[in-house]
Amino acid sequence: MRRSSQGPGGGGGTIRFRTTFHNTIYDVFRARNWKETDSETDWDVAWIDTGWIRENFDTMHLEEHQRINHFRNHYELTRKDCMNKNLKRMQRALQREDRHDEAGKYDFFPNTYVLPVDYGLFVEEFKHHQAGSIWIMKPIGKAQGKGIFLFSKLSQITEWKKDHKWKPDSPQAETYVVQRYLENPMLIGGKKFDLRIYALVTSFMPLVVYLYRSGFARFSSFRYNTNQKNLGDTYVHLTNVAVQKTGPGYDAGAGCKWPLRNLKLYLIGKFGVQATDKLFYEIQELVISSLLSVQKVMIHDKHCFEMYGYDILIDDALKPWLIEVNASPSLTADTPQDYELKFGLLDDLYTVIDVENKLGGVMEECVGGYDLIYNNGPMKRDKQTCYTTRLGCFDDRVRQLKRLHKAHAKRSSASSDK
Amino acid sequence: SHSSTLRHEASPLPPPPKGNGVHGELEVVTTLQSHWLHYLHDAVRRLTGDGAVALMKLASEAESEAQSVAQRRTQRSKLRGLYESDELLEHIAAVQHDNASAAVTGVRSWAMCPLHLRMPSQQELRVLFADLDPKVRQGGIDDAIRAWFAEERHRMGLRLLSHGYTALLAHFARTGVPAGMRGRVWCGALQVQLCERDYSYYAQLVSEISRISQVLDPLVKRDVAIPFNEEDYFVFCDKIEELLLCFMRDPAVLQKSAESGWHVRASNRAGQQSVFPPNGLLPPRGLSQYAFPLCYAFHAQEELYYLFRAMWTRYWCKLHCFSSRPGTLLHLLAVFESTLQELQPALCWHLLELELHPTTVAFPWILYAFSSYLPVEQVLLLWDRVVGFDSLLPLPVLAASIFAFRASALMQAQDADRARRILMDPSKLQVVPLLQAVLFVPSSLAI
Repeated sequence: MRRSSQGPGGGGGTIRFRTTFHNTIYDVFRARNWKETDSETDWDVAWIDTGWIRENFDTMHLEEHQRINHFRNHYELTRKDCMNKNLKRMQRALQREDRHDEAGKYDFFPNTYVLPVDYGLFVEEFKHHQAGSIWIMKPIGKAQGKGIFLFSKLSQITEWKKDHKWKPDSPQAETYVVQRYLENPMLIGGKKFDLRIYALVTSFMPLVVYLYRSGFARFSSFRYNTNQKNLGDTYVHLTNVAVQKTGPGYDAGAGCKWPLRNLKLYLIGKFGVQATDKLFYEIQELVISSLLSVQKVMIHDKHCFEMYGYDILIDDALKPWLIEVNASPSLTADTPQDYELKFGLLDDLYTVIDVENKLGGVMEECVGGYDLIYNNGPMKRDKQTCYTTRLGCFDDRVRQLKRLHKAHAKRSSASSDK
Repeated sequence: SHSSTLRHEASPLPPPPKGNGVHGELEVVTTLQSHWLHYLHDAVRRLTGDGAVALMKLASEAESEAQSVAQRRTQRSKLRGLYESDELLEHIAAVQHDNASAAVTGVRSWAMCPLHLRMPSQQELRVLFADLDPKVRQGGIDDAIRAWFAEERHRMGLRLLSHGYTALLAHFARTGVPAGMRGRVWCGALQVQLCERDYSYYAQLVSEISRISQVLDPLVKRDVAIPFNEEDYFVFCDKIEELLLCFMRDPAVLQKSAESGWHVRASNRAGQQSVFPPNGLLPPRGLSQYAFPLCYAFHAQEELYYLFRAMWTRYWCKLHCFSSRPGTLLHLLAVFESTLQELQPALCWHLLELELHPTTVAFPWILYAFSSYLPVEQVLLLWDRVVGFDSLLPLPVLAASIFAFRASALMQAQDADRARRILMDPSKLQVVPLLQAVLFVPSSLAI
């Protein structure tokens, strides 16, 4: 196998990128004046889809400087059944060690059963709940809300079982997870919404996590209700844009996303600063806890980093619940504001990764819109603000980057003077 | 006259509208008023298909063939309110002022406001807005930087709320209200305290929506469906639609408004005269803009309604009337134009050379109290000051300040489109520092 030249840019030249995507990430690379390359091996950064990783990663040899955007077994966190297994295992381990406070932090995921394996257990649990309680069935391998449906009677899935020719022993049977549906989500303007937060993990061993300050809330366009006969109207219950488009009278021009900052302002107005800050802090803790639970099973590789898209639901008691984690969050933008967010997200990501070593290996607390929240231990909170987390706070990434480069320039000139 | 069907007993005619030809009003203003009312009259007539459709009727009543045809034509029109901001400005600019010095000297002022009104001087503004002095810590700036100040504001707010004294709460609002208690403070400052009777009154208005249909309803609904700042407000469209439809049916608005709005007179089948619409206000495009920002501070529908009504009757109605009294639309326009001229005469000249009249850009900002232009957080900080100082003067002052802030970029613009784009960009604008700069340290704006 041909060896690529040592050092980024083939030894001091322009950074070369390789990607199969032609949306925002492509724009970010071009805006940094990086060169595109088709070469299988001669690249410095790669933004590749998970399918390619699955097929080629094991046979690849990566140079020291090369950076790729996925970990080998990211599915431990992003596949619904694996995530459930890892979270449960972490919680049990903490309980066994009598670390009940920490174990209590892991109650952000609803009771989940994997089908067909856990079918018996699921039926037991189902019978314990009162009649009419709603459950949600999700295929583990699909995205964009495909294949998800709600039910409240066992008979409704008996039909589904027959349709899918599902056999408990068949290895080809499509795996599903089933969990209690959150019937009392927080509603704003009578509509259900969920949050999309972005977290960047540059290393699992030790665990280093950056949380992006901005994100958005995705609203259903339709008024929320839990009528038994409307369980089939997925556009009321699922906030994925792809599902919303199937609803009646969907207006493609109408917005359905709120920047996180607006949500925070609204919540402060309704519940007060302390309750809102506590909620956002719990969301930050949720992200960290979920990453800690897979820390030991992730194949550590210094060439890898990953940006996860967290889907979080808030219930009417202001408690956050983890819906799922995405290893490939959508990078295409619906609106100009959306584009600005995603561009900033990816551009700041590469400032953090720092292939060109412009920041001299110093671990900064703030890079553009990213805040370092875990560096082999939780970060100390900033006493200057009355918030315990910067999530959802004012994000002036351009100004922050200027300050960062100024501070770095000062540092490097000071050290070169010695 | 228009035919309309009113089921309820004829209530006594409301008191004569203030300012409409009352002794003391300037002739040019009455001329302007009559031209504008004529224009609106024609718009309403077109809406009813020349009398084919009733202005107001029982929803349950069947309509004739001619009425259905006319109704369908109304539905097909794309109107989002009876008039747009540029139509209003056009009428203001077009009025001939016989007494203007230009008639004698031939030198015409660039100002669009036709009146030479008494302006507050720079010194007077500084005294009036002394609480915005840079020496005084402000909510909107200092509470973001200093945690202890945010906590102090929070404590003080809670203490004042427990006393509930209106004047103190209004004074507190002058330096910005913490977001967590904005709803309660504004309710206190505007004396909106709901009792059982208010809840039932609102419920009655809601039932009126389905009982009586107005020819203006589709206009209001279309206005709500597409807010100006859609990203901030799309979530609340349903709530605001109900709120505005109730507002259009509420006769208390007519009674309580500080300045009476533009309306028509109509008679019902029995020949009794009354005001149409019942709240005395023909809806402009952007009526919903005065309500949307409130959704971030008020959550119960009734509270939202009464607060919106209080703000309209006290403040925003002055933006939709013609009068020479201080604090009303014409006066505010004159304040904007004279402040801008004093601050940045070269910029005025440059923009006029590019054929971009500054007032055409600033007019929608002032008319909608910046809710169509600034992000919601800044709008609420601005409205804190409107409530706190009980005055609309912050609006034109802020508009002039924004022009001065963008002056260096604007002076380099070579065509009107570029200049307009610079002005229409709301990024990096912070209301409180801009107000402080223009009032107390104008030199700091010329960077």
